[in-house]
Formats: sequence, structure tokens, C-alpha cells
Amino acid sequence: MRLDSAPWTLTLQVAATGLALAAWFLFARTGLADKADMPGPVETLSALWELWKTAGYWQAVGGTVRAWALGLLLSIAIGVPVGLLIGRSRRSFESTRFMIDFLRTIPSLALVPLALLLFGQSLTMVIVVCCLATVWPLLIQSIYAGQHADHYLHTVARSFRLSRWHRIAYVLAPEALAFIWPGLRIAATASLLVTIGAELVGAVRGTLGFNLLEAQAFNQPAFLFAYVLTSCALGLMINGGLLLLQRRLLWWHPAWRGG
Amino acid sequence: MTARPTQPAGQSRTRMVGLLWQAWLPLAAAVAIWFWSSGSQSYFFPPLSRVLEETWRIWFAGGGILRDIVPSFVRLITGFALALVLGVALGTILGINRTLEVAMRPVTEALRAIPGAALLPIAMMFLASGETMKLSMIAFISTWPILLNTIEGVRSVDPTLRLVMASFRLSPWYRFRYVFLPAAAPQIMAGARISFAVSVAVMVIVEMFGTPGGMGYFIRHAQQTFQVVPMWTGILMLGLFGYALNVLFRLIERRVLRWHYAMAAHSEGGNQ
Amino acid sequence: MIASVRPRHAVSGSEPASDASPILAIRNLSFSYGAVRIFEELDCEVRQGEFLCVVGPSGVGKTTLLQCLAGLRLPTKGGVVLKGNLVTAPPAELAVVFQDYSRSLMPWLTAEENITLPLRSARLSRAECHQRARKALEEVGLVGVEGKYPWQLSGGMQQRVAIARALAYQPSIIIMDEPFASVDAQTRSDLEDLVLNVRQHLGITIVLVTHDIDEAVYLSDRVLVLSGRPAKVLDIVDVNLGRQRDQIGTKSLPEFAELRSRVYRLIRRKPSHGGVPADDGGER
Repeated sequence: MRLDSAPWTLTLQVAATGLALAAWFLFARTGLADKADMPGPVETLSALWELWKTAGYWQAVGGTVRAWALGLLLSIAIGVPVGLLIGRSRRSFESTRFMIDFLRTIPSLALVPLALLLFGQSLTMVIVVCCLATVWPLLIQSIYAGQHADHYLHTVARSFRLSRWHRIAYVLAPEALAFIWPGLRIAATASLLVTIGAELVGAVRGTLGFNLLEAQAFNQPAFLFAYVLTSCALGLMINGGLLLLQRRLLWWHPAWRGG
Repeated sequence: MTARPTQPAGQSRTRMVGLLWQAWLPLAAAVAIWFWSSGSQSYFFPPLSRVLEETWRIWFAGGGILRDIVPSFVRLITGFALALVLGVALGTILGINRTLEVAMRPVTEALRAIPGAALLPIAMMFLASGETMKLSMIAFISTWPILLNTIEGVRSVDPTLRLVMASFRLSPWYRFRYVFLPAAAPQIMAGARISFAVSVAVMVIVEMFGTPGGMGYFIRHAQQTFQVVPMWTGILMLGLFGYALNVLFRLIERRVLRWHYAMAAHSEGGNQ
Repeated sequence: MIASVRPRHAVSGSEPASDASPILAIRNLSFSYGAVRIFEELDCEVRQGEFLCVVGPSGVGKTTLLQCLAGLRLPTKGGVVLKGNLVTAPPAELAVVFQDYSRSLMPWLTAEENITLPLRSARLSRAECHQRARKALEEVGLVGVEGKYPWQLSGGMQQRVAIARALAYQPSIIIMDEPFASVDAQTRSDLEDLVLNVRQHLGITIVLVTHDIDEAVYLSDRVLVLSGRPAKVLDIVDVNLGRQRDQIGTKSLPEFAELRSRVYRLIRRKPSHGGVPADDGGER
């Protein structure tokens, strides 16, 4: 069996994952973990099963996903157009350079207290903070896209007298997308962290962050682990979803051909 | 080492103009905010003059830097350094040993997909709210970008160099220190940059929940006790702190990757 | 204890190229990659101080053979014996010069650091490393480039640094993998003469792999001709052009042309048993 083959890889991975789970299982039974009441994989999964039957769980998942999605959409809506515009002109790029550089290093989670004062312990607060965090990578990549837009392709498009719509849909948009995509990937994963972080700090009801905090406050380690597993699953789905989307939308780009 | 070419007078004037273009908007914005907020009655957006006054009083004159910034800084650097060492060490092992890396991939992908903030309650449950918790959180969460980038960097070491290492019988330490590490350095640096930003974010959140001390705590505490102006000073100082660190990071990066930049500049110059 | 292998080609009236004891013995060497047989039943003895060139068409497996000689790959069958020891890992008495100098030198180290790296890894003192590097650079005709980075040097100079690295290592035998394939013709002649001088000066044994027949005949004491699929030793041709060689004089000798065409014909002819006919030999 060739070492590179898919069945061999699968076997290896299953074995390694099995080993990791076994290690977790065994560790949870040691005295050290027992004292701290750390749950093993079995307890975690049964706790998760319990939670799946409650409305509160799904409400929390829904709340977090909504906040994440809206925050991301908002930052796309703001970051991409502004970035493209700034990128087109050398002067505007130079002018905004320092401000963007400075503002984007402010940790967005540090702004949660301010957002709490302005918006209270609401989902809106979370959305605003999430947007504040994720707008920067999108903005920067859009500036980059605006600067490096391939003028040659534009000229070709114009010489064939493509209609405005065609030009935008078939030339400008895919090109811009290829540049902006890395920013989107960073934004999507970072924003989940910020979303949950904001929910934690703000103790916003109906979110994963709140439920995590609750489980910790009421000393329910199995539920706590179950919620962490849930956020992990969310993270994996976002990553996986983006990868799939990348394959469908950007299959033509030389940097990403071949997955 | 290639010396930087001396710039003729015309070029230094262009640099001056460039700097002016970069400076005018921030300055104008600062001035505008100053005047616009000076008469502000708003509870949430106090006058800029007051904020600056308080910043001076609390942070500079009042020893706030020593009390809060220094501990934050120490925590951050220690956590980041731990993440760097762990990430590079593990990343090198996984980068060299392809089979191990492939086998561990589901586990590493799962662990890295956990949004760091979600680990805070677990950390608090098992490690209380003291320094151990804060450091562990920063170190653990910041390790991932470095780990993944190190794996990439080490994997992409030129196969010819591998043959060179083997045929000249380099010791394992020499292979790591003089071949794998420098070859992967650009990639590792990219990971370190992301990791640094993550460290700062985690530092803020663990300080907001942990035992008193540090800038995150300061801002949170100010908000909880409705001291809006001090809260703003905290945000301002954190912004400056973060910016200064980024500049420092970029300087260090430029030094570590000196050969890389010089080589790129050299080949762009047309020779090669 | 090296059983002597019956020489494949009678030596006729040529001065002995070197001291007669074999330093490297290739015994029944075969290599297969899965079901594909790359080369098989290679037999040869390399004498001390000899300059042996291995020639063959591209893709015949010369590089794989070289890697087996250098201990970088294990053969499927047979073995390589260096100074009485079977080669199972890169031996300390052997140094390699690779074809692609831009990728075999480390861009983050200066020329001197590149040369001394293997020495420092072997725990030699700073002073000794420095001294060896100096001498090696002198030997290859490069002085004053110690502090330069490889990418600041021309292709020819980079390859000289790679050769210096091999020399400073003080091996008994140097193996070169098409070392002059990536440089221009002018530089190539300079480097060929350099290698001849080095061999003359230091008495070192050299095995050089190349696809360039002219080069092989010009440089070597014997030429090992490989061809076929799977590759086999077609012949080992003695080159009796004397020790003193130069680009113009030697290459205008009638013996040179005769040897050259002999090797060329060997490569181009169809193998007498089975297998796919060798492709247009010598083309690159």
C-alpha cells in the first residue's frame, strides 16, 4: 500500500484521533482531573445530547450565528467599497494610511465596555463590536485590490465594448474577489472569537457566550465542555464552508488552482 | 551586506511630501474632534480636552503606566514568547515528520477551530483567575497561527537543501538552527504577526475577567463603575500601547529577515 | 577486502592514471522505483586519485546512481563499498557538489559560513574552520568573497563556492552531479579547468556525472557509459590523453575526437538485449 494513498491517510488519522480521545478519556479519570471535576469525552457527549433537547441551546447558537453573520456582512458592506475607493487613488491611500494602521491595532474587545454603555447588553452591541473587529482585514485587502486592479483586463473589456454590467460581473468582481478573499477568511475566523468574547464580557442573554459563562458560574463542567465543543464545531463549519466557497468561486485563480 | 544607495536631494524631498500626505488627515481629524467635542454634554463622548487631561493625570503623572501597562506588557510578552517557542518547536517536528502531521491533522484542525474566547470559562474553572490562567490562555491560543505557519514553512524547505544537509552529515541541531529555521523564517514571521495580534486580544479579555491589574481590567472596571472619562483614557492608552508594539514588531521582523529582504531586492534589481 | 572485478576494458599502453587500489567499488548495483527498474547490475571500481565521468542520456538515472553512491539513497540490490565499508548512509569521506548551486547554497549564510557549516557541525574549532575555508576559497580561485551572500555572486562563482565547500570538508572522494549544466559555456570551460587543477593539486578522487560527452572525455581518466532502460553499463572507456589537458590543445587532438565519437556511438546504439532503444543520446 503506497504511503500516500487515501485509505492509508484515513487509517492514520482515525488512529491518531482515537489515541487523542483515549488520552482525554484516561486523563479525565486521573486524580488531578477528578479534583477539578473535568469531564471526559463520554460525559461531554452526553451533556451535549441533553442540551440538544433544550430550546435554550438552539437559541444561543442562533443568537451567536446571527450576530456573527450580521457583523461580518456589515463589515463587508462598509469595508469593501471604502477600501476599493481608497485603493484607487494614491493620495487617499497615503492620507488614510496612518489612521488605519493606528485604529486597527486597537483590540476590539477593549471597546466592549464602551459598546456596553452605548448599546447595553444586547445583540446589537455584539454585532457592532464584531463589525469593528472584522472591518480592518477586509478594508486592507480591498485597498490592495483597488491598487492592483489589472488595468490591462479592463482595457480588454472596454475594447470589446462589454456592457457595464458585464464588465462588473465578469471582470471586476471576480478579480476583486480574488484579492479580497484572504481578508475575508481572516475576518470570518477572527470574528467568531470576537463575537463570543463580546458575548462573554457583556453577558448577553441568548448567546453562546452567555451560556458558557452560566455553565461556569453554576459549576457545570460537562455543559461547559459541551458548549466549547459546539463553538469548535461552529468554527470548523465556517472554515469548511469558506473552503468550499473558495473552490466554487475562485477555482480559476492561479494561486488556488488545485485546492 | 548591500549598502543602501544614498538618496539624491530630489528623492528626499519626495519623502517629505509623502510624509506630509500621511500626516495631514490624522492631524486634521484630531483637531476636528477636539473642537467638535469641546462643548460636548454627552455622557458617553466627553470632550477630548478632558480625556487628554485625565490621561495625563492617571497614566503619566499618577504612575498608571507602572501600575497597569507594565504588568500587561510583561504578561503579553511572556505569553507570546511561550507561544513562539511551543509553536516553532512543535511546528518543526510536524513539518519534518510528514506522517505524524497528516495523522494529527484532524486533531490540530479541531483544536485550532475553537474560538479562543470560548476557552476562557474553562480556563477560569480549572485555573482560577490568577496569573496562571492569564498566561496559559495567551500562550495556548497564540500558539496556533505560529504552529500552522511553521509547519508550512518547514515543509517547503527546498529538497536540494535536504540533500545537502544529509550528504554533509549535519547534526540535528545544526539542521534545525541553520537550515529549517532560517528557511521557514519568513513564513514563521507571518504566523508570528497574526499570533501577536491574537495575543493582544486574549490579553485584554483575560484581564477583563481575571484578578485586578492590567489594562483590560482597568477599562472594564472603569465602565462597571461608570467612570466614563477614565475608561476613554484606558482605550486611548491601549491604542497607543498596541500601536507602539506593532512598530516594535515590524522593526524586529525587518532585522530577523534582513537577508530575505536583501535577497528579494537584489533579484528585483535585475541580476539573477 | 575488495575482490577485484575483471576490468571491462583492456588498458592499452596508457600510463597508469593513479595508484592501483580501488577506493570505491560498485557491485551489482540496482535500483527500482516500485515496478520501474531504473538501473541494474552496475559494476565498476574507482581507483584512488582517478577522475571518472559517468555519461548517459538524460533521464537514464544518473542522478539516482549518484545518490546511491553518496549514501543518500539505498539501492534495491547490490551495494557500494567505500574504502572497505559498505555505504548505507552518507559517509564522512565523501562530499557532493550538486547541480543547482543556487538551491544548494544557503541564502541566509555568507560564502564562508556556507563552507564552514558542515565543519562546525562536526565540532571543528573556529580557527580550523576559518583556515580550511580560506584555503578552499584560494584553491577555487575566489578570494575576497567570504563575506558575500550567494545571491550576490554570479553563477560561476556560486558553483565555485559549492566546490570549495566540498574541498574544505577534506573528503577522499568528491561526487559531482552535472555541476556545470547550469552555467554558460565560457564559465563552464573555466570551471572544468578548475576541477582538473584541483584534482592535480590535491590528488583527490572525483566522480563526475554529466550528459555532455565532450566534457566527459576532456576531464576524465575513464568514462563510464550508461544507457538503456533499465540502464546498464555499456562500457568503461579509457581516456589516454595524458595528465596535462587544456581546452584548445587537448580538444584538437585526433584521439580526442576518436574517443568522443566512440562514446557517442555507444550511447546512440540500440541495446543488444530487450528493452526500449536508447533515445537520441546526448540531446538535452
